Amino acid sequence: MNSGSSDRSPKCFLNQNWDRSVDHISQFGSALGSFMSPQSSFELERGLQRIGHLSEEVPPQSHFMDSSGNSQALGGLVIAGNLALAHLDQFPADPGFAERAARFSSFDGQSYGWFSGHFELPGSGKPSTAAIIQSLTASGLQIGHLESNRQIPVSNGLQLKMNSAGPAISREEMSLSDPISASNGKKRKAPSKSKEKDAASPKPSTDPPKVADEEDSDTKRCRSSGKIHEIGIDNVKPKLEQNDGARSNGNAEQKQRKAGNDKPSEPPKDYIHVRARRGQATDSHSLAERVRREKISQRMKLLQDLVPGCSKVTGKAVMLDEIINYVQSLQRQVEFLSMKLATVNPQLDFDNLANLRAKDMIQIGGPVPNSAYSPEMSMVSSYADVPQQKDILHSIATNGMDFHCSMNLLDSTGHQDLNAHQACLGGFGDSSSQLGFFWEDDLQNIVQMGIGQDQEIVASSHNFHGGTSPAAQMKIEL
Amino acid sequence: MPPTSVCVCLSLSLPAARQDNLHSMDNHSTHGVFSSKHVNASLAERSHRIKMAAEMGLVRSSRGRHWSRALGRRLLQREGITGCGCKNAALSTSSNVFEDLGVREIEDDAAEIETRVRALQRLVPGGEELGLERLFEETADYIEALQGQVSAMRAMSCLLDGLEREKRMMGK
Repeated sequence: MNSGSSDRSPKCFLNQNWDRSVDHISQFGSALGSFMSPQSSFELERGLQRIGHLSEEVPPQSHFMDSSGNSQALGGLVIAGNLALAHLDQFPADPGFAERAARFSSFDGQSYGWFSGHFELPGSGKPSTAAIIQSLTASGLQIGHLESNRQIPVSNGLQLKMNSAGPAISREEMSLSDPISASNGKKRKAPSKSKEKDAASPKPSTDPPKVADEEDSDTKRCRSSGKIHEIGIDNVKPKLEQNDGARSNGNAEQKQRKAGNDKPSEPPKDYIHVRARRGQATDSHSLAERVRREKISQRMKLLQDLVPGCSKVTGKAVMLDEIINYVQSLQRQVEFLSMKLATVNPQLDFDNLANLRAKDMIQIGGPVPNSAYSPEMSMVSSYADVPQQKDILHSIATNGMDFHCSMNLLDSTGHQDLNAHQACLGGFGDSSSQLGFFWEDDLQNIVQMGIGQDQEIVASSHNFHGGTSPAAQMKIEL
Repeated sequence: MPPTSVCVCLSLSLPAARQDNLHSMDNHSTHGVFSSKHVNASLAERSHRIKMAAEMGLVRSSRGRHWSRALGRRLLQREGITGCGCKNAALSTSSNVFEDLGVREIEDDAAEIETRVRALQRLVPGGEELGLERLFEETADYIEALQGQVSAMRAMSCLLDGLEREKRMMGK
């Protein structure tokens, strides 16, 4: 059954990754099944399955496509089309068939020409066959944004110009690349035919050569004189929504919509697909520039959320001003608070700052002699350092928590119970014995006394809970 | 920095119990009353040291960020050079970062933004070598860390303040 197709030298090659595309092809086949008779669709699918075997036999030829992912699918579809041709010759010319095919074909007016031209259709006199070819390619390529500026009447199916197919090709490829890349994911390190931006780590030095390669091959393939833009001109088409149903892979998730969604939905992917907007330049530099600008504006939005009172401010300069002021004010607050701390507690001092290294702090949790040596147990984040510094934190936490319940971040309800406090500290054991290490005697007395008075203090400080999000803030006013 | 992360920022140090001279003096001192120069000097020194400790805490609590590494480098550098007596702060709190950059140009939008970006670069540790988008990233993270730091220090001061009051109450 496939002898006919085996004889044809494929215009494009299939490579080993074809297997992944098979499911796409099968879905493609099932899409076709909607308008084909069950028997024919079954045959078609069988034929499609053979493509998988075919791929192993066919040696890769980089005739006009390089070994990029989506070209596999493209080639596969061409093969599928060829196979379908072989099959469809047997099908009766069915007027309804042609009509349905025409309906499908209307989705993508421009891709047909390319495919038709390359298929070297046998029996091209059969309009139904041509329509079927068109519909095959159309359905297969209804993945994303396929332009359908004009409808191709069935009779003129073979008269499509190749030039017009140029931009469509890149789009098709891009659309093809999406399901393939969705399935291949990390496997494919080479850039796909569609223009992609390396979101993770921009390597501008490598991008231009790749772009050049892709464009060269495009030119060769399409034989069109104009510059082929890998990024198709983006027209958000109403028919896209119809096309989307044909895909099971989700609707162009990796593609950037006009709104410029910077985050690819697949984190493992390295690239962000970028679409040029209508009427904008589509060369690589301006696109890179646009991606960059979008990233920057996204970050600015983030900053806007962080800085209080910035939401109504518009304009870069004013917002930058606000941000700068805020950072400055925060830094000043740190300084002021450190002064206040020095004032509030005259014993508070750090003697050994010079010896303090980041890696040293891990060892602080070890032996803590009650001598002149004053290791600094400064701000530690619980998730990173608690295990090592548990002993110290015990005393700190217990000490602190005993006196000021509102410091209990972990408990939003403000327990009035000392035990609950200690329990909330997540296993911080009773460290009253360790208090002696860290506090002078008189202070230790205070602590122990304070524990008894805890209830009272809790009640008073409980009032200050209001309004603070316990997980994030430790605001305590006394 | 996820806001929900329980960044239990607690700052504490061993009291300088062995600094007996300070100890005896401080026991009698009240807020804001420092009669001797020695105490004053020590206050400034101590506040500086506390600030250094706070910044170290900043560094520690956000390891791996560019700004935190830069801040850490800056801190260690200063500590090595100046010991404990220097008044230079790692966190520059000059009132106007724009002044340092020269005359502010108002004529051009792009230049305006450029000035501000440079000012921000000076503010954020390690910002001077960053590009714009990285700078914003680091700024966001830095702001979050600073907010946490400020909260923690405020809590600390309240805590210690309460301790002091208790102590005084008990003393009476």
